[in-house]
Amino acid sequence: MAGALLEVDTIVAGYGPVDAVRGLSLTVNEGEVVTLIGANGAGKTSTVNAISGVLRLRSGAIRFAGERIDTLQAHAIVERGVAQVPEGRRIFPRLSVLENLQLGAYLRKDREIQKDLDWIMELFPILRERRPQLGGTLSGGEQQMLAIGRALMCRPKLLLMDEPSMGIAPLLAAKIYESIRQLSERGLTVLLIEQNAHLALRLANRGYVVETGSVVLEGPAATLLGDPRVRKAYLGED
Amino acid sequence: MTNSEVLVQQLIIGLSNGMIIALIALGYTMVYGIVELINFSHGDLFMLGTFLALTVVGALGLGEPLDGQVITWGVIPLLIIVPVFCAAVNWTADRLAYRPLRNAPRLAPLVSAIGVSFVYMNIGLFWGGLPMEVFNMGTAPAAPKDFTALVSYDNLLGDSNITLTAKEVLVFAVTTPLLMALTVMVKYTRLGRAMRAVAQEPTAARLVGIHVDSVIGVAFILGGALAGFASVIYALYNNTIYFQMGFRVGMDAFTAAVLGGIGSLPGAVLGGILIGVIRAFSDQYIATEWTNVVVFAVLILALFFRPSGLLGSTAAEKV
Ligand SMILES: Nc1ncnc2c1ncn2[C@@H]1O[C@H](COP(=O)(O)OP(=O)(O)OP(=O)(O)O)[C@@H](O)[C@H]1O
Ligand SMILES: [Mg+2]
Repeated sequence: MAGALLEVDTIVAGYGPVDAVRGLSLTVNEGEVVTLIGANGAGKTSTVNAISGVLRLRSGAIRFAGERIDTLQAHAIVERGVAQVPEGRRIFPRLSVLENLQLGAYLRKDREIQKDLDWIMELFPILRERRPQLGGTLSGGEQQMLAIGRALMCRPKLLLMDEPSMGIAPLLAAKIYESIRQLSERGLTVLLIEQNAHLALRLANRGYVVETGSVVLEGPAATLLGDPRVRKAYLGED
Repeated sequence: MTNSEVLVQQLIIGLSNGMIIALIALGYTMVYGIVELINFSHGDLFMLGTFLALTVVGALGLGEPLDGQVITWGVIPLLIIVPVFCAAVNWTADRLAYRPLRNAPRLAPLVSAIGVSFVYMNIGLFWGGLPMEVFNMGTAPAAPKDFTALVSYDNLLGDSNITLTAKEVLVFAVTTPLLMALTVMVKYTRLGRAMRAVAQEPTAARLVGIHVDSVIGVAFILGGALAGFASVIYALYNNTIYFQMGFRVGMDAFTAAVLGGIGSLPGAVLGGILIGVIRAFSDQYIATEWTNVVVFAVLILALFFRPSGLLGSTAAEKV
């Protein structure tokens, strides 16, 4: 497909004898925000980890900008411009906020790192205030912003976000979503994992619904929002 | 000697041995910090370093310092060759024995490390039996070897009751810059930051593009090199080596790492110095045969009050 930045093609991946992802396919076009929604254990995290090269495929293929990336190691995938904001944030706890952000730029050698640091601290002013503080001492919401900032520091072409609103108060979640919208307007392509389907579908262009490791429903976000099956299963309506 | 002179003398001896223990303890703590492996072979790697050092001494034909000199400058190649050798061996052990078990249960690499320790010890035993003049040809392979006195025993303080020789000076002249360089490296360089990142949150480290296996390899290289420096200065300071010394010295170093808080670099240095000084004081004021008991009693007591060691991270971290 023309314009496809990420193509996930009938991938199978799992742990031990169990397959957590079972023939899942999805596409993310350049500039889009695409969301992947599904219940606990549906295989969403496994899917993003497979894209990032942290979980190996058993079969299928993943292409980024036309190139096979499923055979690459995780660092090589980051190098090509795929960053992840992991589930549970995974901040470096005994590194300062600044060091956490600098590590996001680990593979960069250009001279604009400082400029990007400034920009991220504008996006999340609390991070500027907390620069010298250890990552592990931030509140959950602050850690989430730090995790997003860290991922942005590698100047990704594609940002994978695994439940950025998890465990965060609604007001702050709305703020984080607002920043995702701003990033998208700047041209960033986003694959957004969510359980909170309402939040995700209002932001995204398109969505996929995952159940037990494969896609059961897909379409434009507005259509999914109106779909009775989605309303029943993921928006808590009867 | 007055009481205070005895105290100062024991402090000098304790600090010197403590600095050597600290170098080895750093190797334990760095590897533990980054892969949570207690590298039981580390003391034996140190032993191999001393055997290589003596071999090089023989090959270069080094002897006691000339009249009017305090040191045979031939020690300088030792301080290059031995650390490089120990770094390479340590890296290879990781590559062959530990890395394949990275995702296996913790016990598996631990058992491998014990196996590697036996391999090193037997290499040491074989090495000690090689027909080389420096290894006291003709005596048993297992017998302790005299390490050539490349540094003078003369007291730099003239006819004072307190003895401070060029050996002690050498210990500090080698260890202090190493500790400073390591601190700067870990705190301020890109590689050092990557090492801390891998130690704290390996998955996130991969997700920011750090090649985790290489960074772990670097930890083994650095730990090995420090053990190599320790080999040379230990041999120059104590002048005896034997193939089982890795166990005893390694135990002291491991204890130091635990006392300081395993995983903490400043902790390893503090622990090493404390163990060195406690040993010296116990030898002097209690009795040498009680020294091991005293060291472990101090360790148990310290862990009782600070379970994660003196400088170990205490508070549970927020994930
Ligand atoms: N490290 C692991 N080892 C074994 N099984 C795992 C592992 N990680 C996930 N699984 C299993 O794989 C399946 C999919 O898990 P995954 O984390 O991908 O789900 P998810 O959609 O992200 O769920 P959630 O919304 O709760 O985060 C689950 O059944 C889970 O138990
Ligand atoms: Mg998940």
